[in-house]
Amino acid sequence: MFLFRVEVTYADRSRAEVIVLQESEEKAFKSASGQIEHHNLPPKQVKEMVIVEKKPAAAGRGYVIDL
Amino acid sequence: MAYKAFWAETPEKLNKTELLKLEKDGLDIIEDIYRYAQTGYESITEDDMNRFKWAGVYEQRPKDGHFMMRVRIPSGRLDSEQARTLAAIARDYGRDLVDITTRQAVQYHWLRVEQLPDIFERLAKVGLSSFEACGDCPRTIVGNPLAGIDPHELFDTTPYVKQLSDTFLMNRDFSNLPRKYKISISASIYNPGHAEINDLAFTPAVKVIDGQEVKGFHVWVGGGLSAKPYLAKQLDVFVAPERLVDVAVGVTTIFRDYGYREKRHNARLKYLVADWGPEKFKEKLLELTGELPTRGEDKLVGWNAGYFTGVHQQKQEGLSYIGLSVPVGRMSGSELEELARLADTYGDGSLRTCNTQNIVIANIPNEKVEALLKEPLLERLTPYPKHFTAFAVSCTGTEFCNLALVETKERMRQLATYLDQEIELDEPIRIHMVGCPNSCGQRQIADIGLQGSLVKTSEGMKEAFDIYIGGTLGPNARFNEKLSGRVIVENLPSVLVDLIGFFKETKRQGESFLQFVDRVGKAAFQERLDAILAQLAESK
Repeated sequence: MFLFRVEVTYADRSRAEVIVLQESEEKAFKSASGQIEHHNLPPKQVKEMVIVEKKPAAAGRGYVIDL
Repeated sequence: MAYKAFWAETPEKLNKTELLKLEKDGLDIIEDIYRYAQTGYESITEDDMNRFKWAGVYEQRPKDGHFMMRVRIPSGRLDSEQARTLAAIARDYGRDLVDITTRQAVQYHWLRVEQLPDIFERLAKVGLSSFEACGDCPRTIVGNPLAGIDPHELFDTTPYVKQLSDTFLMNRDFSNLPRKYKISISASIYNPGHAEINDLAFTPAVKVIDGQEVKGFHVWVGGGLSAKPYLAKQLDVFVAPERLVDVAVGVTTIFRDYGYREKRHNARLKYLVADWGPEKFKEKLLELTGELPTRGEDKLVGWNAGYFTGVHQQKQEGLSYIGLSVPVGRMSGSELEELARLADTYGDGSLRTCNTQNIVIANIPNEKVEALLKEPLLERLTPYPKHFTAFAVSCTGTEFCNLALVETKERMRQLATYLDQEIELDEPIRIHMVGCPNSCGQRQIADIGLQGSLVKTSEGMKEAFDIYIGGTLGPNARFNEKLSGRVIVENLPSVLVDLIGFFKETKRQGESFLQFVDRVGKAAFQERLDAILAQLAESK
């Protein structure tokens, strides 16, 4: 399993970073899409979704998101 | 072990890897590997698999029983017998593949655990080793590949590199450091050892002591790339060559005893140096080494980026060295074997690997140079490569690396070939391609850095790259800066042609890419990239 860092740019140019635990890149995209759909109400149109980093999953692993 | 691991007294403040290292020293894995060679891949425990690094061995992607092995080549010095041994190992076990790394080491792929004991023994017979090429220990020492033959070195660093390498290799006083630890030693005035990106670096300096000018070193600590790059800081000390080992042991002892072991992500020496600052670090160092003279006159005058292609005169009259381009550092074992033959036939058997993933044949009598240049191998591994191929560096990428997001090595080679066909420049541009943020391909110090990512598109998942511009070491050392706008991989060649075309069209005569970036600024490149990407979007 890997911890994926996914950068999301919405159609309105706002941005989000989604961290998902998954076993492959394909599944990470699917999970990230699910997280975004769940998170945004009303839904937001995604312009770009990119995996920029992955780390082997283990307790304590994570990412720092600069704001 | 001649020290007390006092951090063991507070295990609650240690990360999981630290606990593993206390349970069993990394070097103990070497004996275990002989056992695993009998019992097989499936019998390797997860903890021991993690310790394989101390033997210089990692599991390669996709973790199906194959391994990568890195062989230490301190300062890049190889003789022909060593090269033949390396070539034979590649042929017998590694699918004939040899990669030169950005730390002058050699990497194999496709190895199996049952083959490792024989490889260890073959390496040992010729004075080579993979031990501690990875892991939380002092790794291979990088340096000037031209040490001893360089007209631009203050003195030959070969004996000091060997002395320090011998001091640390298999030394259990230093086999449990908080994290990986990289050392550079060079006396070249052009900084081929990339001092600023090493945990500990020695660079040339002189100082008048008791009325006599002494040649020696300045000392840098805390540099490193990875996902959080940091330039090393110079300490206010001067080190005579005979004190180099003392000082290196002192710095390494500080790292071992004061480096951070609670969180693995801030364990590199750079975090301690950033917290302490160079003054406090120096104070602590002097407690261990005794008094050292203060800084002398720095003899670094520039940065050659570690490139030596072409035929050049050595400092020894009548001898030349020939720097060969090894595209993205990859060659076959057969090619390495042929290089060994050429080194013997035309020179004294000396080869030198470079941290730019290239190789040098040294000590060629001038009268033999012409004949050597006619050898068929030098058609591919040419001393006169085209610019982009010559200055291209790449990490391993998804071909073998578990952390990479995209393929890099063959892509960089093809991209460089394409750019060489499309653009003729009078100034080289160094392009480094990496498949993730971990910097094995040293993306941050490139003129143009390309970092891979994966983009979700309507046509499925696609590889893409971010573009960074303007990295350099030496005077005004700085890491390159990211341009906004990701480039889908199929557009990368044309986007780069356009972007580099912007440089070519508007540069002043003799202006380097870096000077151009300094003059026009990142904003000008961003504007150009925005226009290119907008045009691509329109044409879709």
